[in-house]
Amino acid sequence: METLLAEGVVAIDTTGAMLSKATPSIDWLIVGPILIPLFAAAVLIILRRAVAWHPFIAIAAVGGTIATSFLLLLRVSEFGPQAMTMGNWFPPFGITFVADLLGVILTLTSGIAVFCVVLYAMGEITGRERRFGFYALLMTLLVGVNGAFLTGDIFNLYVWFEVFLISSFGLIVMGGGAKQLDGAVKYCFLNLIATTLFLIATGYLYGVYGTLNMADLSKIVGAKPFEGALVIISMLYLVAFSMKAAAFPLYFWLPASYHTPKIVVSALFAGLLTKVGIYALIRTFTIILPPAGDSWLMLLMLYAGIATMVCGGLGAVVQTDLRRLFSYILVSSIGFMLIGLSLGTEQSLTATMFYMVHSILVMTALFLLSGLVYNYRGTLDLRTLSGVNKDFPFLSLMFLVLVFMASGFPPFSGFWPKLVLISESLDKQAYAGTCAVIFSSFLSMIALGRAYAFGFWRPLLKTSEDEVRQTQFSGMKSLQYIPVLVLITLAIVVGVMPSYLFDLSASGAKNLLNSTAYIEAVLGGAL
Amino acid sequence: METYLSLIVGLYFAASVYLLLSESLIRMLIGVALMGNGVNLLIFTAGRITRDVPPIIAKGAASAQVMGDGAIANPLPQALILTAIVISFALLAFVLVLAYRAYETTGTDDTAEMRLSEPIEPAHLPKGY
Repeated sequence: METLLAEGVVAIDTTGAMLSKATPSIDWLIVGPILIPLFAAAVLIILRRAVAWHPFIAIAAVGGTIATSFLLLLRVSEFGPQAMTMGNWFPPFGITFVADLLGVILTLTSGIAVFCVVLYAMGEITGRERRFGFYALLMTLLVGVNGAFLTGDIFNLYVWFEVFLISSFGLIVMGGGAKQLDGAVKYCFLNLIATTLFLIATGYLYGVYGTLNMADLSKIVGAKPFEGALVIISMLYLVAFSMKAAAFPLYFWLPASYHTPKIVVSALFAGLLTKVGIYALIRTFTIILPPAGDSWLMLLMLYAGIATMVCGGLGAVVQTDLRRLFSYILVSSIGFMLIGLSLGTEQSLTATMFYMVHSILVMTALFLLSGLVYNYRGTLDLRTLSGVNKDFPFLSLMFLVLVFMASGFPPFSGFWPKLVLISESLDKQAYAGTCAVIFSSFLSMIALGRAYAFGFWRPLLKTSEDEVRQTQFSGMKSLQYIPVLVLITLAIVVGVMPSYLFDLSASGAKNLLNSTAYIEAVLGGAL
Repeated sequence: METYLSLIVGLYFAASVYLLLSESLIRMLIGVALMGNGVNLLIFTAGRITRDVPPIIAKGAASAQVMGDGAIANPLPQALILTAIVISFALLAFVLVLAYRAYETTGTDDTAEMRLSEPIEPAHLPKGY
C-alpha cells in the first residue's frame, strides 16, 4: 500500500475516523425508500413534457418504495434496528440513517397511502398540472417524509422537514384559486415558523451537547437530570413539533387550509404530514432526550392532547363543509397520539403506533372519498349535499364503514388502540385522558353520523336537482373507487387481525423505551 | 464575544416576533426573514467563536480535545448555517411570491381581512329534514 504513494504525499491514518470496509449491499435497503422516489422525481422533472408517462413513473417508483420498505420491515423485525452511515465516516461524524420499527412501519404505511393517492390522481390531475410538476412534487414529498422517518441525525431531520415542506407548499397552491391562496398563506407562515423553532432548538442542542447524532445524543443526554438548558430545548421541540402535528393551542392552521387545495392533495396531507410531527415528538421524547420523556413536560403534553381531542371533536360537530369536518376529526386523532405518547408506557406507545397506521389509512381514505362525492354532486356543503345513498349506494356504504372506523367501532381498526389506551390510562390514573378518549370518540361519531344523515341518507333536495343533472358521470371516475377500496380493505384487515400489527408495534415501543439496541446499531461499529 | 452575539440574536428574535404579530403580510414576511437570520447567528454562536485558527488537528496531537479550547476552529456550524441559509432563502422566495399572489387575488394584504377559507358568518346545518 505504502509503496504506491508518491514521494511527498503523507499517508494519513484514517482507521480511527472512517470505516475501512465497503457498506454491505443489504444496508442500501435502508436508504431505498428515499433514493427511489428521489430518482423518480428527477426523471419526472426531465420528462416534464411527456405528461402521459408521469403517473406510470410515479406508480413504479412508489411501488418500488413499498417493496423496499417491506423488505426493510422484514429485516428490522428479525434483526433489530439497522444503521447505515453516509460517506463511511464513523458516527457521530457521518450522517447516519437508522431503520427501527417505528420508522419502518410508518414508511411502509405512508408508501401505501401515497400509492393510493397516485392511483386516484390519474383521473383527477390533468395535463396542465402534470406539466406544473404535480407528480415530481408528490415524489419529493414522499422523499422528505421517508427521510424524516429514517434519519438518525437531528439536523438531517430538519432538512427532511424542509424537503417535504417546500413540496407541500408547491402542492397546496396548485390550482391557485383565491380561497386556496388564502389557506396557503396560513399554512405556509405557520409551518415556516414551526420549522424555524425546530432549527432554534437544534442550534441550542448542538451548542450544549456538541453532537447532532440521535444515538450519540441519547447516550450523552440519557444520564443528565432534567433541568437548565435541557428544559428550554425540550420545550422548544415540544412547541415546534406540536405546531407541525396540529396540537391544541397551535392547530388552527390545519382546518383553515386543508379544505382548500385539490382533493388528492388534502388527502395526502391529511394522511402523512401531521404524522411526521407526531413521529418527531415520539423520537425526541423517547430516544433523543429520554430525561424529558420522564418529566413534568409529559403532563403538559397530556393536557394538550386532551384539549386537542375535545376541541377537534367539538369543532367537527359544528362544521358544514365535509372536508373541514374531516380536518377536525384529524385534529382530534392527533390528540389521541399525544395522550398515548405522554403516558410513556410500553402499552400506550404501542397503542400510539397502531393508531398512527390506522389514522394514515383512514384519513387518506376519508378525504379521497370526499373527492368521489364531489365528482358526482359538485359540492361538499352539507347544507345542499343530499341523496348520495339512493344514487350511489356503494359509495354510501364505503363512507359508513369509514365512519365506523374513524369513530372506533369494533371490529374496525380504530377500536383496538383506543381499548388499549383507555385501559392503560386507567392504570396510570390519568382519568382525564380516559374521559377525553371516550368523549371525543362520541363527538366524532355524532359529527360523522350527522354528515352521513344529511349528505348521504337525506333524499335529494329539490334545490340541488339542477346541479346534479349537470354533473356528468364518466367511466374514468369509477376507477377512482379502487384506491379508496384498497385503503378500506387494508384498514379492515388491520382491524380484524390486529395481532400482527400489535406485536410489531409492541416490539417497536420496547425499542423506543430502551434505546440500547438503537444506540448499538448506530455506534456499535465505532465502539 | 459569545455574550454580545447572544444579545444580538435576542434582538433579532424580539424584532421578528414583533413583526410576525402584526396583521400586514409584508411585515410578517420581514419578520420571517429576520428570524431566519437570527437562527443562523444562533448556530454560529453555539459552535463557539474562535479567531485565526484552522479547523485542523495539529500534527502529533491525538485528538481535538487534547489541543484545548480555542486552539482549533469548529467547522461544523458553517456547514449547518450554509444549509440553513439555502433552505430559508428558497422558502422565503416562495413565500414572497405567494404573498404577492394572495394580495393580487384577495385584494388585501391584511390578514384580518383574509377570511375566504374561513367565512365569518356562522353557517349551521338545519335541525332536521
